[in-house]
Amino acid sequence: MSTCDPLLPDRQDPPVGNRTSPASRRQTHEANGMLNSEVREILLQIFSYLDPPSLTTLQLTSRRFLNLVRDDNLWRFRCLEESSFLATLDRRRRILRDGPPRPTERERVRIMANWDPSFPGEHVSWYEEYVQRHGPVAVNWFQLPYPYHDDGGGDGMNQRKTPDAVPTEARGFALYYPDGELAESVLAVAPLSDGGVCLWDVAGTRGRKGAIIARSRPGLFVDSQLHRAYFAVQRFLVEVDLLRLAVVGDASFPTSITALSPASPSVPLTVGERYGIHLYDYRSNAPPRDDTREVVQSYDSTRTKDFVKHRLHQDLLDMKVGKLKQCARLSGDSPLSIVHLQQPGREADLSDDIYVAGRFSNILHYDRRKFPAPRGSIHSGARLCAMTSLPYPFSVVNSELRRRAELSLEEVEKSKLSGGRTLIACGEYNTKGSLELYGLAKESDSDASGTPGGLQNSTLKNRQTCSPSKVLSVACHGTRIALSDGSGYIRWFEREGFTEVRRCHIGSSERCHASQGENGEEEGTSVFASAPGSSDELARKLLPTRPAVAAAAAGGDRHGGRHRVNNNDLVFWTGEKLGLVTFSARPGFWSEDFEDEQEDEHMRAEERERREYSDMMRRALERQADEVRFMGSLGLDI
Amino acid sequence: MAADKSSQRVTLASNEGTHIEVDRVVAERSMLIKNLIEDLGDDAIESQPIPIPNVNDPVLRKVVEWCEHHRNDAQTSADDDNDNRKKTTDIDEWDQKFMQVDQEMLFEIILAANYLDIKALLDVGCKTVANMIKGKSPEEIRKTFNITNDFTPEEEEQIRRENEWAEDR
Repeated sequence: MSTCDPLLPDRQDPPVGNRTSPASRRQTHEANGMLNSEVREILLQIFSYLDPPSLTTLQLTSRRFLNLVRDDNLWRFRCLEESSFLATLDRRRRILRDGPPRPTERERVRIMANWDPSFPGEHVSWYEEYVQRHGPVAVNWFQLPYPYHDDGGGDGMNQRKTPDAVPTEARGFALYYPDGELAESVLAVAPLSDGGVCLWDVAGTRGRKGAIIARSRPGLFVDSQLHRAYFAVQRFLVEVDLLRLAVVGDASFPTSITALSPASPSVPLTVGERYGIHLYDYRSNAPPRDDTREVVQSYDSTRTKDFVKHRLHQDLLDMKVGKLKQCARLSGDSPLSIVHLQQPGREADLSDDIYVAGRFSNILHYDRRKFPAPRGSIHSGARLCAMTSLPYPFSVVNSELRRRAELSLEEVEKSKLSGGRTLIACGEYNTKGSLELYGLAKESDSDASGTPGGLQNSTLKNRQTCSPSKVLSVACHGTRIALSDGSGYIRWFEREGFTEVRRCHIGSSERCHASQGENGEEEGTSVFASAPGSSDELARKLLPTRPAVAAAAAGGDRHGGRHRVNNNDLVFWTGEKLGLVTFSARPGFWSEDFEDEQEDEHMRAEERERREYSDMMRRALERQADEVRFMGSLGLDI
Repeated sequence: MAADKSSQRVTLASNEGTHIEVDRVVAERSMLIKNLIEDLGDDAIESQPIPIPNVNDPVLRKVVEWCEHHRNDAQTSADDDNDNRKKTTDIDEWDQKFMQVDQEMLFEIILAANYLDIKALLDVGCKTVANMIKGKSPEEIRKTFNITNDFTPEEEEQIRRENEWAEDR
């Protein structure tokens, strides 16, 4: 038997002559010279009969199959097929008997266009998108920083856990890309309650995923290009060099800092405190540097000292000279979230628009060029606590029509190309969660539009279906909006802000008892296990691990080196600890997994016993408290 | 008219020039031929064979055999495959036997079905290949389809890591 089947990897010529293709065949965009597009089409049809395990196995056979099986159209189609969007649409059609029961090819293309959440020019890996929409979710917990065990060594890196040690809390976090935002390494940086700074490995490129890789001695947003982190410590803004974990500068503000904008090398940091908003231009203080890494290596200790002194001096001078004249006054309600809006259509480039939300009912809008003067405001009415933005347009009318799949191909195209931006805010409204989307104009400085805050009369306030409890944090994750709420869930929504894609419960940071079930302890705990949310954590801040810049660049070097997929996870902070949501069938790791392996068996058993006992006591007390509350309210209400 | 049509015979010419005579309804399982007949008119096809230049004789005979067996199936239009497509790879017994051919023939049949636009046959062919892939290890798939592994062990390891999500739990 000859081996010339079209599945052969190194077959050059098209299998049979020059054929005219059937009209229905889609045009494939991939420039895959050695593959006849007809064969490719047939292979994709074969793949459509395969389940994910078979498809991932097939990826491992050869490079050609890897590229074929990760075809964007294949996975985009699967995303749509399994989406709640399509399920709702089908249900509506069946009830209303609206349209043909089996949509035609043209109709299917139109439905796809209505659903497709991506924008022209945006790079989306649909394979990854499918994994994040339908793959299994695993919750991981990072290693806990325990207080230093004073063993006289004094090298600062020794953190053996003592039996009664209580882990030091993380007071927030940011992500840091030590090798630039396009490289694989991702570190999480967090200020600790002991005044130190701690770095965790998020991507697993420097050691173990989730392990602490560096931590400063007891004593803060991150700029990956300058390798600086900024931490707000009450009314001081402290600048920390992440390569040396040393303080290199600070600045003081009139009252406690309540919000910081993300740091970026191209624009000044925006700092919010109780009575005002300040721009803090750290670049004006520092000597011009092209590559910080090199400069830092050349510093010897004395010069570093001088540098710090110089900087501190300069900062103080700046303060005296009246840096605070660059202050937008607020009435005394703390701002809680500051967003620098991107340029339309460009994930990585920031515009001059600054939006501020907080304990006031409006979102304030400033222009960096005319800074202290407010440009306008957008009324929300909810108590907002976090914001993010998307450099693509948003229109309520269009997204509502698209949700019902009523737009034509041309209309969808037009609405996506209208070139605006979207501000996404979240918070609480009448004890329920609120997710709000504001469609903003392309250019805020076209005063002709005259609308306050650059709003394009397009506001979606989802206060019904987004969450039954306060939404604490929001982030753009792939083509979805991820948010965390007060009931311990992380939920993903479509970009129209209405359709929920999926949700996951982050649960307890402690290994649950079910995993120790083989010791026959289930009965003992099952009575209490049903008590909901007994030790569940809430995610107060969410950040996707892949920066927007890298996502934008990934489209560019598609034909060059292969970029990693399935590395866009979500890091979250519970108020004390850090965790990571990954998309994997393997169970996540736990903080305990990082503890010393040579810790002897009986100490661990003792520890476990102790923890179980305290856990049981806590539950018992909670139940008692519940009863008391229950009885109390009975007495009061009636 | 209908009776007339069912008794009508048409001749197909393979790329080697061999002729195969079939009932018109059988030939019209192929949307390509059906459209061609409509375009040419009844008279033209009675007098001359329909050229199928991209399909050789053994494959064409095999395809005709399939069409003969399925001559009375309900005509499915090209559009409504969606529902049964993703769910199942079940193939009826006769088709299974029909597809028990060597790999070269199998792919030629699939290509011919695609060219002749015979949706149901294309589906059966694709399902057959999908069943050959299902439940196999990468090495087994490589052996089955004669694929050379061109990954470095590091690349293989990375892809494995990226695909952890689909592992059987």
